[in-house]
Amino acid sequence: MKLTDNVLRSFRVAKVFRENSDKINCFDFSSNGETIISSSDDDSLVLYDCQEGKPKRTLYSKKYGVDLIRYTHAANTVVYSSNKIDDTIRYLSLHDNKYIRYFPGHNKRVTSLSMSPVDDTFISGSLDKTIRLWDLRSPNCQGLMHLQGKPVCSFDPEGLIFAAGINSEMVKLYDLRSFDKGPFATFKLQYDRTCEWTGLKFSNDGKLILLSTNGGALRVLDAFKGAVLHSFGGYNNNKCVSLEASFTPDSQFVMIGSEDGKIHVWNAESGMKVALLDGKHTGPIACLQFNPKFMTFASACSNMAFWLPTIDD
Amino acid sequence: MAGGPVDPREILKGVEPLLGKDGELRSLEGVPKVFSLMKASTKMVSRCMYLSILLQTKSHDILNRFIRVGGYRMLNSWLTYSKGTNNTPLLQLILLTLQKLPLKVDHLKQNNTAKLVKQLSKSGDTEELRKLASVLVEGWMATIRSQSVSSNVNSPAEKKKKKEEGKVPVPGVKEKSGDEEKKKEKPKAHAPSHTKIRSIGLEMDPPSLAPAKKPPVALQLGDKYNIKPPVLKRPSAGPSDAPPLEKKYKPLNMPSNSAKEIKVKIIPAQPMECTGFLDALNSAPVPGIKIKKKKAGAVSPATKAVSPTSNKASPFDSKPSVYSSSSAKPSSPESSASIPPGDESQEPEQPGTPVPSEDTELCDNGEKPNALAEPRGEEESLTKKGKKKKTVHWAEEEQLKHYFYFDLDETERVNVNKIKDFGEAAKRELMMDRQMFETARRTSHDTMEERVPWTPPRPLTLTGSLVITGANSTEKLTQRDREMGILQEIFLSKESVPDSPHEPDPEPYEPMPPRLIPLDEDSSMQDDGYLEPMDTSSQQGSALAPGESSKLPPVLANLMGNLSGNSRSPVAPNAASSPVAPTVNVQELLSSIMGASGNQSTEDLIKQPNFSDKIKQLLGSLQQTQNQNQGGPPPVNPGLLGHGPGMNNMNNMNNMNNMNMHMQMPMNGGYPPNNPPGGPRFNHPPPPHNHGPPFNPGGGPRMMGPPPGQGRGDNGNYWGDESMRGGPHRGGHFHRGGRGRGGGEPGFRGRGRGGPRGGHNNMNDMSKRPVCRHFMMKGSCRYESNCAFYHPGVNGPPLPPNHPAHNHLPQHGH
Repeated sequence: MKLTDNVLRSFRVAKVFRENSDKINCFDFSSNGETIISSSDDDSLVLYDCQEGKPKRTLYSKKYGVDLIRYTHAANTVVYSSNKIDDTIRYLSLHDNKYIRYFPGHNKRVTSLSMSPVDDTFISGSLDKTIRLWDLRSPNCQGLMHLQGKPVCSFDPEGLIFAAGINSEMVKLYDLRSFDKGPFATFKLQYDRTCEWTGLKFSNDGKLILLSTNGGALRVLDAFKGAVLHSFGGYNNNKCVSLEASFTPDSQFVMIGSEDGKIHVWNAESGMKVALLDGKHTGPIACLQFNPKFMTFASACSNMAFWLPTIDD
Repeated sequence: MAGGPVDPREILKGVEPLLGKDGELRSLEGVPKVFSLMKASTKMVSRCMYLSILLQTKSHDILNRFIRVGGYRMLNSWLTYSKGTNNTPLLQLILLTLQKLPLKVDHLKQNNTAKLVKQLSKSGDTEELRKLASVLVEGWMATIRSQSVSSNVNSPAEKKKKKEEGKVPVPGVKEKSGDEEKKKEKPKAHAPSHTKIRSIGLEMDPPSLAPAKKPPVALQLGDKYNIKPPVLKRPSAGPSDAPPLEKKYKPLNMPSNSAKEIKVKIIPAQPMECTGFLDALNSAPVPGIKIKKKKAGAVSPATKAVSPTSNKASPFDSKPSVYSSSSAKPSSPESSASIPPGDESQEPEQPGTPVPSEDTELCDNGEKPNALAEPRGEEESLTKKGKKKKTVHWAEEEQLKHYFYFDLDETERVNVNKIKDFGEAAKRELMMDRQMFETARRTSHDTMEERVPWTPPRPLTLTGSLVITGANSTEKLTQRDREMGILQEIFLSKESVPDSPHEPDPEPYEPMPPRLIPLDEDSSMQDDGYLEPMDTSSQQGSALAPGESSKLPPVLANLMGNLSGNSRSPVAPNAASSPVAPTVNVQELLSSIMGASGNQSTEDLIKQPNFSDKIKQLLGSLQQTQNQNQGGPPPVNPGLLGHGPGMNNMNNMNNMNNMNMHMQMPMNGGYPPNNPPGGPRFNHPPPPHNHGPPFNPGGGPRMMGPPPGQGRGDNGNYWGDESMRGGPHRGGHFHRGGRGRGGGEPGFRGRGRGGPRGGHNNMNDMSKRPVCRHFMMKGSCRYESNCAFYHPGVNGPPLPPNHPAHNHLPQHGH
């Protein structure tokens, strides 16, 4: 099944889960698209089955809190950043509800976390103005970058490159194999003092970079040239909430939730607005991701919603 | 026979395969079968059938087997039953069967069969029965005697007296019996109640005595074991019984009896040995009978007590009388004429038999007295203790049962869910209320609804992904293996989920400092469009360098020397906290040194003694970063050099520090960052600048002095926030920082020259322009990056030491 404008427009909420008593601050699809792990401000981790459309498991991290969460490549393990006690990143096995390893280093809230698509490396950016590179196999930090502002960072879909968004004005691309040589490319963007970058994502084909902000605009960059291809606005975000924007897995569309619970979809290539979906979310849709393998996406405020298309194309 | 509905032939048919041609049991194997059948049979017909079969069976083996499998016990129960119901024909049949069975003493001791038979022998309903019974009794007595020979030899001698006493009564009894014989059958009527026993004995005797000598013994046993009433009846029946008994008995028993009597006289001691046997025999019987015994005993002792003493002498007399009686018996009317003679004839023979026979007789003697004495012994003990013997004993092992009783330990279990006090209950309620309220509030405006039913989502058609996700992950495998060895934690309810996952297993690891990721490209990495301007500048920089390059090595050497000497200890704190900062500082210092070299006097150095320390620190950290980052001295140099100018500009005019630096580092002169490798670096001052914050620690103190806020405004555009951060105290640093950022690495240089605000991409190098006087003087310039003149190290490479600028500073102002 292919994603088209019409299909996207036909998406409706098919499941609503009210498992959390507080805002869901992050979720992540497993790479096979079969499960979602979500983290919430109420310190719970909820595992959903995307096939059955059911919550499968709930775990708590009341001691350390849970903020950003990402699946690792092992089927049942996640890394997540804590928001209590300290800002250590923790590697948790969902299988036996046990931490495998801690990754201490950050001393302020971690604002971005990205797992390498191919190996055990992951990267984290924090309000302590550092970006750190890690390897799941060692608690030692593998790479450290000092910045002057809040960083965002992400791996590219091939796991060869990581991008660091610096000071909301520059994107630097590093080759993972020689990151200590400095960036191989730097893109300078027009600084927009009205918003800060809150997220950086590559499209699945690696050609585009999506910068989400806590303001009312998104930017899509050419990942090779650094040129701003599109700037999407027109959605509500007056409270400067950090809203997660996502590419669809085919890299064709860009989606973002908004403060008023609606979802906006643009064509990434043409920049045309494609759809406006209303999930009647009760709060800002802080998280929105398309399933990497299946025709469904999830959006979350303090409720989790699964969406399905209503037409077959 | 009772004659039930059962057809005997059917039964026969059923057991036919087990029977021989005479209707006997053919083989050992059939025994248990027949036995079980017998046990199951309740009808007279079938019982009689089986008894007949047994009667037909001659093989001892088979009969023994029959006894062993429990046939004897069963016969006993049948006997009891048929006796209770006065079923004479059955009784007869049973008795016949018993007669057939090769019973041993042990068997007799097993139950009360012997007594029952004994009773029957006296109180049987028909003469035939009585005869049968008495014959049986005699046969058993013989068995007992013969077997006791072996079994009783060992018995203790203690009981001699008793036996002697016992012996006495026997004669006495016999005497009496003898007397009675004379009286013939009358005694019964005459006998007073207290003499009943004797009379019984007497009465019993007559029949037995008449046919054979044996009976007396058996009778005496019977006396003790059996109840009187039947005995009392006996007399009437006795006479008639006698003859048949004799037929069977005489051959065996008569001789023994006669022999006994003889022996007793000769060897009184021997009998004692035999007591053991009868003790055993007597003690074995069923309890019910024992009680009777006691009664009998209770009565008999008195009588016997009398008899022994009084009769002691008489035994000898009595014996003859016995003989006589026996001889007389035949003459007695009851007995058949033919039999008595046989008895008599045998009697004489036995006595005359050789020694062996005597031996047996001796034993028999022993037995006899025993039979009498034993009970007495018991009776005596009973009387001594009291009338009734009470016994306490444990139940059979199998019947014992285990019971466990547990006291409730109050402290054992605590219901943790139990609400302990009112306060807690109230708190809980409050919590619940709050939770309810929150959910209510949350859901009140929660209008989310499922618009379409859920179906498993269909797969997306995607062009092949760029990589196989997790292809190079080894942790994936590690975790898979781990999970295979560890049970999943399953929680049945949300409440049972622990608040926090289990802590990780402690894992030894050696902390390693992370590799630094530079914000800016390596010189070698500079690329494409953006960097092009940079390239030119760097070339320029490098162009400058060659001239000075020769000097550099000594400088470096010097530096290094200092570093190695001083750095380590002071370095540590700095390096640990922020590795980047030190590099910056060093660079800054160096640059300031450079800048200062021309102007500053060495005296200043002395004024600030703590400075040297600072330098050392900085140098130390420099060395560290070196190690981490670039690995070799060359890279360091470039860094140093590159930044030098900037620092120089900033600090040179204002700072005492610079002076100090200068003093400390003679290398000033050599400093010029011209060495070739340094060239490219040189162009990238931004890194240090970008690291601005870390920068502070080192630079802070120095910077504080001069508050040149001048250039701030010029920054304009994006840097607003930057400048804010920089704060006034940073002054000079600030614009460098701003510039570095603004220009992007490459652009940085050019900015100064281009002047225009937006000129991020302005890559012009101002080094060709005259040096800015203000910059050189004060370390800062109002125009900052917009200044049209050369700010060494900011918009161009640092000044070489011998640069004319040092001398010509005043030349150009603006």
